[in-house]
Amino acid sequence: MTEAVDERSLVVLACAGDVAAFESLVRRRMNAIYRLDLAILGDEADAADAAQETFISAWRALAGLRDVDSFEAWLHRVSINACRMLQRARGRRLVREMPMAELTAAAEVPAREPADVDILRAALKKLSLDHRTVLALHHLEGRPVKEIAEALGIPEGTAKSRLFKARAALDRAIGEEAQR
Amino acid sequence: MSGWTEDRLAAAYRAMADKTAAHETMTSTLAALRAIPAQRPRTRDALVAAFGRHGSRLVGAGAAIAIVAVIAAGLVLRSTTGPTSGPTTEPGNQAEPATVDGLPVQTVSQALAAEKSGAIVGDSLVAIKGWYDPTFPFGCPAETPGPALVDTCASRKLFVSENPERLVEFQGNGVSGQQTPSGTYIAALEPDGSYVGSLLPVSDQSSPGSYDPSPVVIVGHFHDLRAANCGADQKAACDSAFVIDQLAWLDGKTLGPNVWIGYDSSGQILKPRLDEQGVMAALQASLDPGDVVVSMSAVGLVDLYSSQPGRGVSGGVGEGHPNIQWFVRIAGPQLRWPEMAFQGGLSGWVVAEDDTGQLGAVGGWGFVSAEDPTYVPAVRTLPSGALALPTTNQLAGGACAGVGVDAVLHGSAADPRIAWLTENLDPAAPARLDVVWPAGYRARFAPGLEILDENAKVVLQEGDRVTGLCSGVEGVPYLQPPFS
Repeated sequence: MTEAVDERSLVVLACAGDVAAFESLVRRRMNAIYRLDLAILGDEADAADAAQETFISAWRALAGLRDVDSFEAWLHRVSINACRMLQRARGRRLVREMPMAELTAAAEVPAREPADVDILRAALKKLSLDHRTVLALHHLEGRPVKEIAEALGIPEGTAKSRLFKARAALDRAIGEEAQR
Repeated sequence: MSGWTEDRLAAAYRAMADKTAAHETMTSTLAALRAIPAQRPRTRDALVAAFGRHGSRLVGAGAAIAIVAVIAAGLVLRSTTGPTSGPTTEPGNQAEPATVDGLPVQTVSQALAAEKSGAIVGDSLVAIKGWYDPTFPFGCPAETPGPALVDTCASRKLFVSENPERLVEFQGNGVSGQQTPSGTYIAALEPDGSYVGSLLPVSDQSSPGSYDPSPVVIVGHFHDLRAANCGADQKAACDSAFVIDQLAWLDGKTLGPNVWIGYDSSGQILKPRLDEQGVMAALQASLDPGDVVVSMSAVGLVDLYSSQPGRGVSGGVGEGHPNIQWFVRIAGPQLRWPEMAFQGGLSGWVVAEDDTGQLGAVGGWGFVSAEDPTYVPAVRTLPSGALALPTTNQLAGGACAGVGVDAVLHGSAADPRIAWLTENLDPAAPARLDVVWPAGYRARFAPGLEILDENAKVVLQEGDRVTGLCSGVEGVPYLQPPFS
């Protein structure tokens, strides 16, 4: 309760131009946003970029926040948009650079039974960003459909439908990965 | 199917994302935030305080925009002849104009009387002359941001008074107090997506004369459409708020049309591909010969998303859209293209994509997006004879969060929504599904229903099957090609 009230005060102060208050919000929210971005983008460097972009964009766009109580959902929307922009930019890069050491290390790893996390990571790569986003909000953050709808700015019915389709697509992809 | 349970999936998710942001991510983010110049101040004078000295230096950003270019004196952006460069004039010696952008210049009291009498149609532009009275950056209490049109301490606004008034009081070497104008005045609110205040001279506490009033002519509008978002107790105040669209003339200098270039998310000035002439060329086919561009702002995608939430452009922001958009305010008759159901007023706006020069969204002239809470479905006949459909501000081709559907198109010229879908989930009880269309879409009955796109091409007909929708707002789906 105290934390919620404190955060609301920080948001109010940040909206009024208090950069110190906003920095406090960054410190509080950075890891959560980073984890969400990591679940959506699947790459740590990209997730770090998206998280940084999220807070910079949020600071610059804070005037657009109409309701301080919806700061969390609004920040999620900014973050999801940052992921979209980043993925679009990354999509233009035909060849992704990989350090030689990483290549060598990959070649030396002995064959093993893939862990769930490996299967999930590979399966998510086959899904659209919209599907990865809704799945991350639900299965990583444990958000109900209502909150997912708020975070994505879509009707609840649409969120429910999208979550259902995303889960079905993930199930198919996991099945394919598990058989490889 | 994978057979994974919810618990197994959640555990795998947690394991995958069980990371914390690197220390460098935190420190570099905080450093980047501190490097962004003057992002949050809500008043012009707060910006002055942040940037300091008196002079002509650029002041910085408002809500999200920074002035880096002002197209002043003589660049006449009229659609009839295309953009031309007019005579260059020395600043400070231009007479106060009698008309601006074809609008007669009124005094503050004349404009207020016209608004009060109902003589001003919708959000038509009004040119007002008066005195700009500088203010001092006293801090505002932290307050919850309200609707955009509610005048609060933190609102970005200019005091324009009928007669010159010195608002800031000095005692000894410092400011001792400040007052609002005592006579007739307008607290002219600065619009989102631009920063009119940064065209003003910088006042400096060490130079009391810099707080002297200056003669000014501004162009703007009452009855901003965002008044619909205000609560019942604020509705009247919001509706009568004056929003600036252009700082036209100040103390002998012609400043309009105003052009702003914003910052990107890292605080760097945007580098749009188009210049103002390029933007004009991109708009040329859409503008009526009587249209005049009063201002244009190059803004980042996120800023457009954030600064125009009430204008129905947010749904067009997403993947596939370029990062820089031009938000252009226009005075004059409604656009020639796309054809939409306009209801009045003599001003509007368009959003043009900097990458392609293509229009992405349009609005104004009394148009109400079908996604706006105040939209009322009704049968409306367009100048071409076609029937208006419930449309958004966005042209087709924007972002689409796809949703599957199995439905058939139907329509009636007597139905307020003209066209709708019937879902086939239960053949015994087909369900009607109302939809929203892209800007410029309309319908005709020849004799069966035909849906025309913004270029008058038939894209759907009565009985056509539709299997793909985009998620809309308030549960009403948005329908754009491809429809299956």
